[in-house]
Amino acid sequence: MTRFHHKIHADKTGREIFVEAALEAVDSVDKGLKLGGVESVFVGNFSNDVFEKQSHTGAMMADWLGINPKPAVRVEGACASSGVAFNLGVQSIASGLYDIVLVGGFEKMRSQTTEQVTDTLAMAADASYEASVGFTFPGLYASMATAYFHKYGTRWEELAAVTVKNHRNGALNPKAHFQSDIMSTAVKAGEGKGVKFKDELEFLSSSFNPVVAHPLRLFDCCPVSDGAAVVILAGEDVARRFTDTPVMVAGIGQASDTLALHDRQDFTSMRATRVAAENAYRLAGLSTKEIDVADVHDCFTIAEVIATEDLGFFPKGQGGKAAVEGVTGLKGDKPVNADGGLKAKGHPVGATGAAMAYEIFKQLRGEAGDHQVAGAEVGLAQNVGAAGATVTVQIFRRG
Amino acid sequence: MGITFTVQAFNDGLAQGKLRGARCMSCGELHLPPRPICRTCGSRQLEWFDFKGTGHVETFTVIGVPLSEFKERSPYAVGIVKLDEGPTISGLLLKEKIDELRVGERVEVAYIKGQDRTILGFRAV
Repeated sequence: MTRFHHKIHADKTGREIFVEAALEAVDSVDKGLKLGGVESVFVGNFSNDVFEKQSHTGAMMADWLGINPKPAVRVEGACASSGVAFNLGVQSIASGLYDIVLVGGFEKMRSQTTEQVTDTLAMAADASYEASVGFTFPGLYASMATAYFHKYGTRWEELAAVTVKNHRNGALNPKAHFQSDIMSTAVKAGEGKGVKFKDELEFLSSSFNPVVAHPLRLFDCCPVSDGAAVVILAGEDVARRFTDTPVMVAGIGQASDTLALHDRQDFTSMRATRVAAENAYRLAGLSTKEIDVADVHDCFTIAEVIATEDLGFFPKGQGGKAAVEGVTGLKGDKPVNADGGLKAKGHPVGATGAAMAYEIFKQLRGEAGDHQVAGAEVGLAQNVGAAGATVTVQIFRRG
Repeated sequence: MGITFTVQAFNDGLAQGKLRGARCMSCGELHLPPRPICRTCGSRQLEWFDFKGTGHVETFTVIGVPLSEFKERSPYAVGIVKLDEGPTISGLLLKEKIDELRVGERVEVAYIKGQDRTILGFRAV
């Protein structure tokens, strides 16, 4: 995968960053793989039509990878686009149609202003019944947070613990958008204005962290990033020709829910996560206890809290407490978003699901560097589209 | 057979000061906005149902970074209202002091004039 960032890809278009990620994937295959060996391409992308005014990006990537006439398709499931692309890639191999496929995703978002990005992201919600009354995308997650606090009597400070943890992890990940922890960020931000903060919470509670959609502040939200991520999938027997240490896809799941948040029974849980996870756990023959490392979709801090509950890691209402107590920290019992998560790693929407698979692959091979979770053997990725209308879950284990 | 329960018909209702949904003629489930297939029983036999427009706030947010169309209103409150008849729907929330908006607050429907359309809103009562 490329580094996710708001500046470094400014002089490139989507096709270049996707090719960059694809070349890293192909070139890192232990016993060598030629691009020509790829039989099909699945490209996750949310809204390149708007961001770059370029559609038809499936064929474009096959073209730029130099592998025409291999079939290629662009897959859209909002922020879960490449999670869906991944599952489709797995299904294409499981069906027996292909032996080797390339799945990935990209988003080139920084050509737009914040206002334009806000409008574009709102297209993933219900344009006719949510955006039409003024709901922004952060506004939907903020409403989940309001409902969550009301139901469980918890407070924003629990969300701040997610911010602190994920930025701490991001600081250890060279691919992350933000590579400084919150205290370093606070010191730097305060320097110019002659302000000193006694701890992270004081900084995050200050005017340096403005409200985006109450109760969510700027540092509760993932940044707007450019980036691409690619992984190679192969059938089990085929994979062993290319590596002695493959990572196995043990189970996959996917589910849908109402496009509009208001049509759900519960605003503090995502049914699509619960269903997708149930299916993935069942296929894998594994349970929540066996997950050593997880990448979950923390587009907003509240989303990580809800995800860790829906995936069965913690009881309802306890996800925030787990972050406060360090359970989800890099050295905790249930490390979540060791790579910094969307929060610090960045969230080029269409690239995120593939980037999660990339991270878990690295973790299970012991190649995650400074943010390695010691001895991780089983990993999980959960990718959410919009406010939970599409969710994918994958479970991986060491081969 | 054409589909009657359209976004356009719902919006036309708002313009006329009506909050129009659909009632399933088979199981009685109410749908707001209206939809062509009952998601409770699968029936395609539905009829128009006008909501009273009273209910309470289920959840909400106050938007600091707005959509371009709503820039002039920022900061504004938007949320999900549970109508007394049962269904929940998103709307702009109007209250003199939006900082004092609370979950559970009683509201009634407000048809807010936008630039070229009527926006669904709810006013604290």
